[in-house]
Amino acid sequence: MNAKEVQVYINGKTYGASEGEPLIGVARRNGIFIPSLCYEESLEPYGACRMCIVEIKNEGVKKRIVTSCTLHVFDGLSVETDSEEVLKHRKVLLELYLAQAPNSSKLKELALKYGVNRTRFRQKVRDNDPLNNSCVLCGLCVRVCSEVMGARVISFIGRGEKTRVNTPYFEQSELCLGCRACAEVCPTGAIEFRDDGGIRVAASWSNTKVELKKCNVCGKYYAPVKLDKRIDTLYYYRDKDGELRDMCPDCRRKAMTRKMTLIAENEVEKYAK
Amino acid sequence: MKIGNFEDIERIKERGLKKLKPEDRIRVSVGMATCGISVGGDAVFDAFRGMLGYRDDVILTRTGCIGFCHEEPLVNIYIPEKGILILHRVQPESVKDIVNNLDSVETLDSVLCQIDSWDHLVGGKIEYGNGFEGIPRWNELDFFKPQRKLVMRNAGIINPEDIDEYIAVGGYSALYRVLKGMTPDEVIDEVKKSGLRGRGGAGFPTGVKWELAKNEQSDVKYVICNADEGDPGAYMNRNEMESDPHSVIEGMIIGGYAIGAHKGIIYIRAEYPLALYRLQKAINEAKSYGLLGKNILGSDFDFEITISKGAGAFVCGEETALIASIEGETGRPRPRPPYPAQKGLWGKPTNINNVETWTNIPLIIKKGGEWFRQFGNEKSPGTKVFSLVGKVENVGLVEVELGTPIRTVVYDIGGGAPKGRKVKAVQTGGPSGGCIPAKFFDLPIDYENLTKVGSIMGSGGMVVMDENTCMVDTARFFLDFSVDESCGKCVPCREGLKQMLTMLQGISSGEGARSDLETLSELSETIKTTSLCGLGQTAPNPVLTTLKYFKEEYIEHVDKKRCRAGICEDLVYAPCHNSCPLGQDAPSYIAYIAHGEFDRSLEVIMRTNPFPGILGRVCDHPCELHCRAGEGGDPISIRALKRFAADRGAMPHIKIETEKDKRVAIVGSGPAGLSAAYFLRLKGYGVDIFESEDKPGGMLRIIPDYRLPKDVLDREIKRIEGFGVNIKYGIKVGEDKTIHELFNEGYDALFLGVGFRNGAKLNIPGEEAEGVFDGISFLKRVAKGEKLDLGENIYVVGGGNVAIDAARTAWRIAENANVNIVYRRTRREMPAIGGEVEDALFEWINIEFLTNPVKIITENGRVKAVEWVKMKLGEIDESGRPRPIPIEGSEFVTPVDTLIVCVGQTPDLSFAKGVEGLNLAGNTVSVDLDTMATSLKGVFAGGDIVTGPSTVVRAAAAGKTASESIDRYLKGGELKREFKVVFPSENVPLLKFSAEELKKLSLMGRVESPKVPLDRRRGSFVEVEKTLDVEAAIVEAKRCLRCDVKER
Repeated sequence: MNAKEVQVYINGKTYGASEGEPLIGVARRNGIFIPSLCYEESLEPYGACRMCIVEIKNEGVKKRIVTSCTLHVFDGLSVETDSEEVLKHRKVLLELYLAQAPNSSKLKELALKYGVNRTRFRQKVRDNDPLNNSCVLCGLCVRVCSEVMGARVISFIGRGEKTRVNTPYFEQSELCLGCRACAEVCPTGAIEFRDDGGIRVAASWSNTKVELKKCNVCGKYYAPVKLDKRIDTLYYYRDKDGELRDMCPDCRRKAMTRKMTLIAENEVEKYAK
Repeated sequence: MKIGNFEDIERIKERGLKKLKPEDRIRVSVGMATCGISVGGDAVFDAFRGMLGYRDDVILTRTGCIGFCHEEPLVNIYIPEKGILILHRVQPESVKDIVNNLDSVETLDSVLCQIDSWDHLVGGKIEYGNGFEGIPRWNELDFFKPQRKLVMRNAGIINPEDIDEYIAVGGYSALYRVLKGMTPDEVIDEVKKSGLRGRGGAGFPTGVKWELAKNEQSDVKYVICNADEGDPGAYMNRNEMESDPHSVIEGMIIGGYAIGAHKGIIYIRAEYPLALYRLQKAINEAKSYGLLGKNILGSDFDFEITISKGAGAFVCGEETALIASIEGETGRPRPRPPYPAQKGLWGKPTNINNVETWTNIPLIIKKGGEWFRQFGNEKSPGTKVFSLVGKVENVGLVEVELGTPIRTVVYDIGGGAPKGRKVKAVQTGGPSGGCIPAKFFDLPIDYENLTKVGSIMGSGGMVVMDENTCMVDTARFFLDFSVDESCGKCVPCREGLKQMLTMLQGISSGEGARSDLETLSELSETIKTTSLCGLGQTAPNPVLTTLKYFKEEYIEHVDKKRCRAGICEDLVYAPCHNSCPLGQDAPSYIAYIAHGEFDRSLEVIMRTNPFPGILGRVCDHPCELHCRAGEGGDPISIRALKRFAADRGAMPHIKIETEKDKRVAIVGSGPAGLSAAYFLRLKGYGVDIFESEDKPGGMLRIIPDYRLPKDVLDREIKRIEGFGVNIKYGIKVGEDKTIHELFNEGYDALFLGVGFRNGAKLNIPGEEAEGVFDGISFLKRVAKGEKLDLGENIYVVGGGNVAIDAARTAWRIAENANVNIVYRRTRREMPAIGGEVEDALFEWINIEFLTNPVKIITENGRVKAVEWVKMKLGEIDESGRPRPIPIEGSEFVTPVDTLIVCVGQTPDLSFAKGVEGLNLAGNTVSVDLDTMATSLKGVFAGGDIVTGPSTVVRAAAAGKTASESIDRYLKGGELKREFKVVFPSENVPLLKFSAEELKKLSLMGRVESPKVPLDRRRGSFVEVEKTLDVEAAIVEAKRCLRCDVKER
């Protein structure tokens, strides 16, 4: 189903978009910066971090502040991404974030971008916090783990201001694939993984341990065993005799190249004959 | 049996009517909604069952709550041909009495009112009988009179657990009409026509909502009843489900038919077990009659209702979170759009309405949308049920038309705050709503008006707050709730509210700063604007509204470390101390009395009180109004105990600090002047008082002897003089001496303690006639011993303490006269001390309320009669009281021999004549209230001349405050006053009580001072109140809860 092409106005300029897509996507595609901590294209809009607020400025409509990740564009939509009102609220939100996650340097960087270098609010510091007092509960890790990886290792624990993210009962999880997708999407760099020989330790997730696979060729640990099982070399590389299995990406690439070269040489020879 | 046609319904209706209104049997139904059961309704029911079990002439059933929860347990007794009697506050012990007197039950004391006929609306009016003589009808009671029962049309009358009775009062006839002859569009049209708006709080038009859901194309749709009622203090939905569950079910079936849904879900919190039980029973009964299930009433419409139990999260009242909860997910809201009407439960179009909205539906279908519109106002038709709770006399469920002023609900129905306290505000909409201050009480209650003042309608919680409610604490309480109930998804609500709570906790413990107030409102705005769901968007409302309307209380907490309501624990060690203008350490001196150490008690009193004998007699005792013992029982008789200590205790040795070479002149020897003199003298300053009269005491001297004997007054003043205070009589500052001359005479500072010593005039014709007095000069002349002939008909105009004093004095002098007080407002607005008014009434002094003089009719220059006019109360004026308005054509004349006018006082401002630089505000001197310093250097002022006519204790407190700043001024330091949290001055050990003694004390009422019998009062000025005797004083002191002791 092809969505209707529409025109939207962002900060006064006209952009094309397809009807119903989130505004934040349109903006980012066109190089307009809208800060966000919980938006990820591959996931459903979640609307938790409230950083991506914009102001709707259509004529005849009451000006209002909405999150651009949940704003479905329509023809003639006009928004401002950094209006005075938006900036005012965004700064207060940043102060709240700084108080909530005082240890995150990524967050401090973002705050500085808006001229926020301190917070008026009481800082929330937990002793021995597995997330290093950097988590802002954006939910990206939880969602990527369940929606993309299908693993559901971590989830929210408790509610309200006592909410935390971790494995159930803070026990080591058997479900973790060790994919590090959570750490990858984390906007504040709160999630810590550590590779310890043949074991990957998810330090943030109750020290969940995942076994790593060793490369048959170079001996390097390259991927968690559980993930490696999912790699279908037959499908991807037409690896009929399975010789590309159990190889780290580097060695596999080398082997592939070798194989291709061989095939190419054979072809050349065939041609020459 | 399945109902298939109209005849079936008629048959069941007849059967139901026989149960509801049996021809030859008495029917006893006990109010057994949760409110009734919680105060013993089930025990009452059991008692009835025990006594009536064998009798076949009496039917015993349960019923819901009619709304008057304050009077529960209620019992309805139906007597054939006569009607229903409602008995209130029935206890199991009194059941025997009721059963034995069933034939003459109307003679019982517990009869509240009767119902001779009741309009069930859907089924029409039912005549229950011809009525009982001499018993008020239900709608003649103040509580019910302004109410309009639409939603609660059956509550408290029918048995909610019997579908026959519901059908008897017209139940399911609306459904019958819908299924037998209306298209879904017609149903929606009717609802749209009615203008019904969502009763969950947001007020979205119900008909429009239905249309949206109907227009969605889907094979499966849902209707949901939102019964996740969770505001603190709100329970109207609970009662609607407990008292009339079938109304909800019928509404849902009709709604399902209209939008094309075949499945209904009631989302109800598991903490409402009774509502759950009754709903389930109602569903089962409806199923057995074919009102739910396949082919309802023989039509081709199928509908099922199931119940989904919630775990009681407040956020699950938000529709998307509610849907998530039914689906088994964590109750967290989802971004909208898509709206539930498009993609709701399990991704299907879903229509969610509140319990009360559903309850309205059968009524609208049966009576028509046009009919419904006659109630309420243009934009908000219909009625709304409010649960009226908090600091109000009549707690209960109140159903009024939308557009009814708040005043009607709080005062007429609710009866105002208990113990004569003033209502300060109401909170509507629970933690999402705001505090509406009393000055807006004329506001009609509807969606738009409440939003305008910063609150919301909400689902109908209405919490009344009085003087004993701290607004900072209120905001903190609701915020605490919201923090607890925040789901934690979005940051403004999760983190922002918590930060707000932290700040508020700081403020209420005296650690707040002014900048916190700004941060609070800034943060509130951001939370309101950027939160994901309704919970966060509205949670700052309590803070925003209290900050807006009660900012002075916040500032007091921050700057003065004071909580005027006496609630914030860290700032207040005891509410009596906190409310005392003088800061008397009441818990300590009361405790010493309990220990039998009367001398030490007086010593504690004298530290902050210059004349305990006087204040022990005439103080208006704000301490007793705030006493915590008074919350559940009677407040301690603190004033009587002070008087006891003053009369009994030996004069303590009071040390005067080393003599200082500075001298202070004090103008006026009233309570303010005497108090300033006393405290300055104790600090070692030379003090001279200049008094224009020839006797000291100022306004204290006109207090009649029966309240304050002159020998007590003289004794107390003598004592102050004994410390070295000189009183110079006959010198009027301003005429005999100017302020500048005083400074030239060598005084280093000056305190103005001048009173308001001239009576104000009415400014009506004939006022100069003989026989017309102003209250002050009347009292003054009596005090000087003048003999006055007052005649037979004495009228006193006014409602203040002077009026009461004048009336009681006249009553004593003129032994055969009839004495009347005429006041233009009502008892509630009377400024006089409550006890004084009661004493006046006890002395057979007649008080005419809502009356005002128009003209004095004279004969030969003497008053002969007065023409009066009746008044009614209008809108609230600047004084916070309703303005009296004359009713035209209500004038009447009565013969009058003496008219005493006590409508206010004016000051003698001659001291300010020609004094440059002394700022006045109208007829008072303007001062900095923290220091009592005037605009003139070295000149301080306090008492009536600053505040206008006020009480003795306030004047004394002003003198004390001034003495402290004069001390700072003379020492050359900073004049500014520093505020600190005050702690008890003594550490009096707790008494040990045996369990038996403790029980006895806790059940005891307060000990009042003995009073002279009525027959010895007339013609005599003997003091009416006597000192407590030793035993009584000790027992009363033992009743003190000792709020000052924090740890045990």
